[in-house]
Amino acid sequence: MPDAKIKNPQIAEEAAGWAVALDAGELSSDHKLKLADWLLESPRHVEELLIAATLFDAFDGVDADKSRSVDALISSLPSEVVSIVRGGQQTDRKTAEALNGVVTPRLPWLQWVGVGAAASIALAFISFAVAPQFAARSIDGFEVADTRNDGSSGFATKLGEQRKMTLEDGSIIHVNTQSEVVIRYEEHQRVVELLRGEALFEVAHNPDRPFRVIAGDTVAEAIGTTFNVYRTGDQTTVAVIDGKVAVMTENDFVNTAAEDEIALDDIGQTDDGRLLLAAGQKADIAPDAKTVRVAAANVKAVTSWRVGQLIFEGDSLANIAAQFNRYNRTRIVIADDRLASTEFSGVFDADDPESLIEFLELADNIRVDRHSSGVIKLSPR
Amino acid sequence: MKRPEQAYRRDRRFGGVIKQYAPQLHHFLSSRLNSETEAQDLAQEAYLRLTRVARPELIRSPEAYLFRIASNLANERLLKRAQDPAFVPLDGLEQAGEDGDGAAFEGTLDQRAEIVRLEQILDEMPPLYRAVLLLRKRDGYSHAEIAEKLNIAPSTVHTYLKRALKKCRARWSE
Repeated sequence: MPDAKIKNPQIAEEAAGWAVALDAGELSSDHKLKLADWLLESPRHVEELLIAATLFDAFDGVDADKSRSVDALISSLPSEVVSIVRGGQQTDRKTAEALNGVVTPRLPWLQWVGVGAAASIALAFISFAVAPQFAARSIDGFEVADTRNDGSSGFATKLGEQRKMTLEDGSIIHVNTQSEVVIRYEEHQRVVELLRGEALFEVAHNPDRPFRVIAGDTVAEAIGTTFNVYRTGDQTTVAVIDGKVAVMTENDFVNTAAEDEIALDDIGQTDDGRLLLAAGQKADIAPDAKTVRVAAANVKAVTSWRVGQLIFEGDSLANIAAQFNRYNRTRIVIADDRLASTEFSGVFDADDPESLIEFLELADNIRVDRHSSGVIKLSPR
Repeated sequence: MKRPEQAYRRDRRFGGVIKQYAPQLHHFLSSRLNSETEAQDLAQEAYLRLTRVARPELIRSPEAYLFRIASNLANERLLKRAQDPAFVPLDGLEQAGEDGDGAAFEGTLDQRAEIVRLEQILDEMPPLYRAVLLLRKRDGYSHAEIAEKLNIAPSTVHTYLKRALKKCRARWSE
């Protein structure tokens, strides 16, 4: 068997593709034409296809005593691979039980929504934890959140699950993986609290009944708009896709504009001092750091999760790994700070961490270790 | 002993062009002639011969031309080596000139070591790749049958096999 080193990963990949295509059966005449052209392009192509085909052929003799069970492998898959489930799935008892006792309501935002809301929000937490039968019914193919007596309803999505629901006023909420929202519609305002995770809001315009999203200390009020709110441990990001959003927060608006950011002086403000974000802008609000940073938002990247995609543009490997980990049981961990801060760009399927790993394996300086527990460790080579 | 169903499955994929010509190539590439230079020279020569095939002929069946040319080259070289006393092989070469199917090589030390190495590489792959590869190569299921069995798209089977092969290729040359 050849020990020839891979000189060009791209060619090795193409060769593997051709070897597998040949293995599948007769090529179409179109593919034959393509293969002929590809082969004539370079002796390297010929070499790599010969090696790939020979290697693939050699696999015939593998595990002749059948000591490896395919069934066992297949049954182990759910713990390794979680497909993105879209829409329709109801929060089940198990999820609610898992949530019960985990949620610790913290209500620092009460000053924003008025004291009257306190009781019903508190009720929302309790009812969600104790009786999670939020019957969602479907109208015209949309999920419709059922409104309860106390005016609230709630949803939590599981790992890899995404859900879309239409509220009574026609507003639509898309909820991303591992997220939790509580919805409470009152006479004079529509309130959605994002307890954790990420949601995208398409808001039906109604100036008499403002639509407010509460994420920790941050309140984002829609002004006939589509926007995304992503809440992580230490930060909430509000990104506006369409229309405008007024953001209020307990934090002082500290101007920390870096080079690629927008100075707060250049951002509109409402009469009562709220930041007015326009379409294509985003604000990162960090309660602990007490900072708000406004920058241009890549709308496509912000909304790509709805189609199961992750788009990165010069994102740190730490952030990329964290994003994949939001969707998959496979845990990607990075063992080195410098590696963690290395930046990459690319488009991936959120439920396919392997595509990222393969991408990284092309880099000479990254070592990939797989542990049986489903942890993939990245370290410098 | 293979069950009849197994035999049937295996028979069906023997028609493929890789299966048809790879054994000779395999003999060549896996024998002690397996230096990087040898493989490169062979590929270089195969490429040159390929460029001499009339284009209408070539695009009718590029894969058959490639593997026939390459396996002929491999045979020529193995025979040449066999006649050269400076390169007396220790085992296996007497079959090189035959229209071999690889069976004569089964059980040789080289091949057993090779299988062990491939199995090590296999065991390091993600479970889904492992499952698809085993179903295809060990159990002889067609791509479509694997798709059905795992409830995935045929194009996904292709993708996983491709990735598994690429991974294997990368690991092999480490």
